[in-house]
Amino acid sequence: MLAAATARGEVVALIDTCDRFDPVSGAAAGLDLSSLLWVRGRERTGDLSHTVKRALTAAGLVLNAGGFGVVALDLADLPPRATRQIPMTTWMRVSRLLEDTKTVGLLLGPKPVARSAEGQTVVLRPTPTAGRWSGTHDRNRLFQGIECQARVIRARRPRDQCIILRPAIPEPSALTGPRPASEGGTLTPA
Amino acid sequence: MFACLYAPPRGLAFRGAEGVPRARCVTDQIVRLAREYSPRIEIHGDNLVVLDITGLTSMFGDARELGATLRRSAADRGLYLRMAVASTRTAVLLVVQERSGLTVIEPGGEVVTLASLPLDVLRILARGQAQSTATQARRGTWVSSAALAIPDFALLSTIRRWGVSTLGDLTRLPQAELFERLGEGGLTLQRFARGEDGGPLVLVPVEERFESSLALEWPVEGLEPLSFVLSRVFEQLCARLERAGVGAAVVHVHLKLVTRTIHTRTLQLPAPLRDPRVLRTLVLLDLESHAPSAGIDQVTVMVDPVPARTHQFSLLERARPAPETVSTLVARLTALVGAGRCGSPALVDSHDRASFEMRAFDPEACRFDAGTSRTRPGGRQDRVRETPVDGDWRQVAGPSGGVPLVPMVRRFRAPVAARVAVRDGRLVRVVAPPVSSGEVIRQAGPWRTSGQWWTDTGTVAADSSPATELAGCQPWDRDEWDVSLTDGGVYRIFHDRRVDCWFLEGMVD
Repeated sequence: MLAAATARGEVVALIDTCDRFDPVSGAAAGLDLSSLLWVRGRERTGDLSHTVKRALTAAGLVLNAGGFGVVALDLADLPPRATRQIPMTTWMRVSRLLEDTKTVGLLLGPKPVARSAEGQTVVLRPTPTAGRWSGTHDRNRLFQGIECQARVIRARRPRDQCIILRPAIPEPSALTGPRPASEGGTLTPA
Repeated sequence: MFACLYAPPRGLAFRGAEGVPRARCVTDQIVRLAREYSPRIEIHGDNLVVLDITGLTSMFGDARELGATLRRSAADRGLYLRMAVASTRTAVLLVVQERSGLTVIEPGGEVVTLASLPLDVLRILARGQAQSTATQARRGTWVSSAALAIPDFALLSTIRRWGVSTLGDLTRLPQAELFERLGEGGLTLQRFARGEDGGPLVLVPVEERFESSLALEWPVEGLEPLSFVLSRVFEQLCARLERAGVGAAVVHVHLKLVTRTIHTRTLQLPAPLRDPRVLRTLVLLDLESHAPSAGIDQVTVMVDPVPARTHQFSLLERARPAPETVSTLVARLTALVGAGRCGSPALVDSHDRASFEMRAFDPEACRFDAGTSRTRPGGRQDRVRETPVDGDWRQVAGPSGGVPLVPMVRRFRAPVAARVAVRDGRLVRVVAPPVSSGEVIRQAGPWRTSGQWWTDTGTVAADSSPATELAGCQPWDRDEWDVSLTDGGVYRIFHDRRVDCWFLEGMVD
């Protein structure tokens, strides 16, 4: 989503709570790094509530400033108990900040932690054969990507929709590049 | 009334103590001297300044006494100038070209005084103006290039061939015949010879100093009361900036403390700003992390002005945060997460995949790239068209239904130490804190990389860890694997060959 937003000419923000973002992977995914405001948190040390509080404050500051296409708050590396302790009024306040704006608020977490009337929740789960590999031997095997299942959860929707995000196996001629992990995949509806 | 200050190029004013010619800083000294007496001055080149002294006689006496005062002030500065005082600007400009010392022309006596001057003073003045205009244009400073529209030199040569040698001879020529032979230029030369002005004084604008100071009756302690003081200071300052059409590029804050020390802070702004609330907020955020050590007695704010930012908005461009908003936002975020942890990442030219650098977030810099077609590193065009609508990801896909998915690495900024079991050259088990079950299902690798070995100054301690090394600056030598474990995750691990230890670099997302 961040790469698509920067491709449209928007500026995006990433509140990286645990400092896990990899700029090399981001650039390989098509993310324009100069259009990204990256707010780096600290590694998971000490008081997690302080880390979460600081990330939420940073997200509030960015949303208050306005003008961003996507504001992503990455809580995925926090344990579920840390995200469950966030009061629900926090998410109401965030949804109020997003009202009547063209900013997309993206929340990444280990579990669904926030709900709003206009928001959507997408659950990503790896399939039983998550890793997609090419090659038949350890010496010529290359990692292609992860196949995962995306399920859209929404209260107003009568039934869940499920799609499989599956990486594509590149052509043999494309395997001569420097690193196969950056060759990408394909989004294929199930 | 006008006065003229002139430093001849070969005069004493251009000689230093050792007889070495001084630079053109003489002009700056003459300008400063003139500004002390009148704000209405006109610069005619490197060494010629005319000032309007109308109304000064009530303060300094008559014209002769005023001229003497000017001469004493110049002598105090080490300047030995030619000076003239007259009721017209042209008269003083012509007189100082020929006569040294102080020349005072009473009102109405210009024609008589100028009559004895040779005709060459017009040529000298015109040539000096032409040279000074070119020089000043190269130096980028201001000059009144069209202050005196002296006609072409060819007219002067023609007049000299008629036997006219002085300005008095020129004034006595009949106007009708002069116009018939030389046209309007001949009459203009005759007006100059009589000392008549052809136009108004072309003033040099005063370079305004943007500084505001406020002395407090009682010392201020804490940032909250200081914010009210700064609001008042910046409102006055920004009103002046707006009148002048400039913005603040650098803000200097001097806080005079009760301990008689000066607490100085300097803020470099990414864009010219003149919003008082934004500037006050930026200064307060800076003072939060660099607080003064005692109460504040006096607040002084100085601003380095630059031309204000002008921007034409477009209906076709995406809305972006304004530079004022970005400045405040980045300052607030920096105060929250620390310096160097907020900005835009930039890749560095290195094979070390963990290395990058942080740059200032500047959405204006990438504005011109917006809307252009983006190409992925593999040369493929990004086929993403829209964000998902109503949860239907199929609306994300392009016509062919294929959107490249690139695996992202969630990198441990400090690599996690791991225990890896190797059997017959194959990785069997990985045990690390974030890995719940460590049986290796599949693996790919190794890929060996190394770099910065030329900066390795000593031996590596056995207990040293890449966690303590600064990525991109320290030598590395490692074998990397991509492994899929039984917990369903795919991880990137590496064996550091320098310390013979295994580390978990990140997990593929």
